[in-house]
Amino acid sequence: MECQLLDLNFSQLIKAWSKSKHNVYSDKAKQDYHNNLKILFDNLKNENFCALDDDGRLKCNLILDFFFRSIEFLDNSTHNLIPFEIVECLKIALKDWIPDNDNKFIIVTSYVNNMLGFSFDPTLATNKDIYNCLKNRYNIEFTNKLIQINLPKYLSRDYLANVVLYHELGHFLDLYYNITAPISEELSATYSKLDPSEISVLKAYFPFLDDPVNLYQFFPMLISNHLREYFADVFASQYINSCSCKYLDYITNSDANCSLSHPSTINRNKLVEEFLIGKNNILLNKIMESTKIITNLSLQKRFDPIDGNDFMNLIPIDIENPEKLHSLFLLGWDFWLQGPKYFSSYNGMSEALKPGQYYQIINNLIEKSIGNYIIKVDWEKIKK
Amino acid sequence: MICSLATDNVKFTIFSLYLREIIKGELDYKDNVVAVINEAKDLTLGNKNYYNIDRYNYPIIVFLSSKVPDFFRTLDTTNIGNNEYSTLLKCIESQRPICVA
Repeated sequence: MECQLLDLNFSQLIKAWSKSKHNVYSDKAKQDYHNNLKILFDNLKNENFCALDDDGRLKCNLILDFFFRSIEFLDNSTHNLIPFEIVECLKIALKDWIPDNDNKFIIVTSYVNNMLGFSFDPTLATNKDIYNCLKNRYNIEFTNKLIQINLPKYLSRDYLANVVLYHELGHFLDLYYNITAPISEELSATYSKLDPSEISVLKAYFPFLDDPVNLYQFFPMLISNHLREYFADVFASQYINSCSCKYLDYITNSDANCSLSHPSTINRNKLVEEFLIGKNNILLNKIMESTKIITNLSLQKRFDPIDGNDFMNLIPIDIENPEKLHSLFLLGWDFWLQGPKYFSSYNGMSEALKPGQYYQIINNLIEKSIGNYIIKVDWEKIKK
Repeated sequence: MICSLATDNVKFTIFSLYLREIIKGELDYKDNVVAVINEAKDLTLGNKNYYNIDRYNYPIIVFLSSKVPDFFRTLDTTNIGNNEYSTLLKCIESQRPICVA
């Protein structure tokens, strides 16, 4: 690795940091993380990359990459940019799976100019080696790690589309615990010995198994990629029922074909439906068993439907618990799919609201309901 | 995009860095490496399985165990020296199948 390229990378960082160093966050954890970056930056300034051996340069390269990725997400997670309410809902779901979350992870978001740009970047959350490296080299300890979620810039406060962020959280937990990887290993090793009825179910969910070329060349990669998606879908449906299926159906035009990275929409939605009605099949069983063995937690419904009367009266809902909080998204979708006609006449409007106005009202009601719940929980914590 | 860097690739890169440091006599990360070796041996011998090996180092453990099972079957984990670390380094630096990387 040439030291001039490290110098180039550090020069790029100097420019980026000159702006990001002024970031202000709404919570202490992010501010602490930012303060550590400040110390790290000073340490990097004192490095003479050309004096390092190859491994020393490699470490610096990894650290510079860590720094860049951190600010990419922190820049979009400042107090006036972060989609606070949806992130709070994800934090609450995360707590179900990593109970000591308060001290370990910070969910950060980055906005992308792509209406389908929902994704999870595992770099900073699932790579503890880089943190060990920082501790050993500069004695800097990052007590919190960043869970990086990308979402479309124009949908940051869209509580209908953003149900898919629960799917992205599922990807993080899958990688954190390596839940689907063992299923992939197991299926690759035992596929030919399975019962014909099980093979038939697997062929329905992994249609490429019928293609001998794919079977031999790409089996592990395809199985692994598709399993990850299936898991994330089932994981999300614990909290948001089948809401993301509706959106997925729309944005993929109910695609019946799979890709290298994703199963077909039809198969994804079918698996979610089977999970939600409690139907068994080998794929669902494997996902559920693996989750249970590894995390000691069960994949199960974690939402509790709520009454929509308050929304009908244009009032945010008084949410009592996390299960009802997640149900706000179900209610939002129910309202949206029902359309503005009945809502408008119920509220004495002489003509039905336009879709854009209705969209705004639903999003505002969900956002306020989440916001009120967060304030209520914080208030109760203070009172104790 | 111009390139794609999988998270597991970064884990493998760092693990090979650790191995090179141990071979050079720097022992900061030796415990991490020995822990992976122990897990890979346990997986190879059937003392552990895919579901109870260390979750963080899962891809490295599974890769090493499948790549050099005979090495782990005969390895004395109380007596690992530079020869053994070098064998593992050679193995980890080889081209990996896309599913593992």
